[in-house]
Amino acid sequence: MTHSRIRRRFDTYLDGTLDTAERSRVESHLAECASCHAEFAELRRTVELLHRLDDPEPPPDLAERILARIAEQEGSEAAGRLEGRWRGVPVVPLALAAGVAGLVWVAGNAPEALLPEELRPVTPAPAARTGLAASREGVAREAGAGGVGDPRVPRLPGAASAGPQTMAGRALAGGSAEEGDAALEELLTSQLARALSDVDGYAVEVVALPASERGHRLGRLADEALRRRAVPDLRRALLRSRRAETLHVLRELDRELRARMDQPAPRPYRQRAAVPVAAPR
Amino acid sequence: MNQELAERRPLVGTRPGTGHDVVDPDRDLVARWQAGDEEAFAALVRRHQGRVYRLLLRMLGNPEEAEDVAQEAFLNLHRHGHRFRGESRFSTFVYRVAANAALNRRRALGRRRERMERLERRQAAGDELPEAPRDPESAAVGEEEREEVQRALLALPETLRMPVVLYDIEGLSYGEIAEVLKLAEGTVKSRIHRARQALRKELAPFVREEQRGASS
Repeated sequence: MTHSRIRRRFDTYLDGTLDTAERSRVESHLAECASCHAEFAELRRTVELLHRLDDPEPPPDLAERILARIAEQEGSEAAGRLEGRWRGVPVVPLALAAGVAGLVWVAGNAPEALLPEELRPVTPAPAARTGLAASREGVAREAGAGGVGDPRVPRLPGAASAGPQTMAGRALAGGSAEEGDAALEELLTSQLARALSDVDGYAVEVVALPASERGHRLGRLADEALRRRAVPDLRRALLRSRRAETLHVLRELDRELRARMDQPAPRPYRQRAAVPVAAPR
Repeated sequence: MNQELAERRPLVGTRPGTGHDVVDPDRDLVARWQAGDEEAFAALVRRHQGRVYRLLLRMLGNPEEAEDVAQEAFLNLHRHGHRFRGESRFSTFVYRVAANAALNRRRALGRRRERMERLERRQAAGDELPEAPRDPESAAVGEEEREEVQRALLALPETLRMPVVLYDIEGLSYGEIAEVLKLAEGTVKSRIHRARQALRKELAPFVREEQRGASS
């Protein structure tokens, strides 16, 4: 074998992947040929240098910085897409939406007796009934399980003494369909208000839910945000969050919200909350 | 999920040595992530950040840049990870994403600037030839040698640098590298051969000296 053919086998010889016959051919040549031997020794030393390079440790919090950057980048890009899509859509302007969110928050938190009449929970518009009725079961589950919305669901005046104290709870206990719809609306509203005002606190509570419940819960919150035209506000709220332990829940919520971006917003079922009127007839 | 499994294309380009026959240690985490569990993704980041950072540091030669590109790589992984269908080990896929991120970064720098840098590095390497022979017995690579090796690596064209870093530093098999770089295995072998030869010449002062020391 020529020198060059021997030298071409140096790599596989070094790696120990040469078959026995070839291996002994290379070895006998190396024993006789000084120049090939010298070159092989250099090559081996080169490879040894590479092998013996120690492993640089990554910076201690690299993983956290990576995750933070992903959250930040994907969030802002999604926000950009969102604004692009919502531009020109004849929806309630952002400022009004924010105002509505504020009103909704108040509505979800204050005793009803203290609210102006037009902001008190009303019977849902007929158009929204089907979807509401379909979701009733889920709400009853949430209400019964002491879920996210519970602490914020307003207590009915004078209802403190006996029986379930929330409307959702009453619906669970066998209330009418109308009561059930109102209860659902109330619960969803209070959850959205909570998510808007304290997205971290909301996420912490969702994290505590069983995994099977989580997606369901977030999906309905996203539906509610769409219905209330609060999607941009909710997305802004969750983009501000920097808590690592709830990041996955917020990302999941963001996915839910993004999945709804192509859908037309359904009619708000509480018209008067979206466009406050001076006085009821 | 089942539908997804059914839609899997037959494996193309599966080569021996890709580790495909062994159960992928990341399989469960990947499945959980692809099902929407972001905690699982965070766990994958923690598990693979070290190898990504190492590869990028060897490829780019600068810790800050390595971290920056590592972040980009994981960002890409997060965006396109749903494309991973288990044709190779997940770690191979991660290397692939990292390799692409490194190559993109290099391209952005511009070829001319890179040529200039390489020239400067060679010049610098020539200026710093050690004068005294070093101890051939020393097992650990000293600070100066390490710097020289890194310099020599950076002097390689990246088409040669990537395969040799993956092979001789990261310890991937030819098959895995072929998978990472989407090259034929023969091409990978020949590039590693050429890279080692180039490194041998670049590191001649070190490797020849050793040779003299060992034979005396």
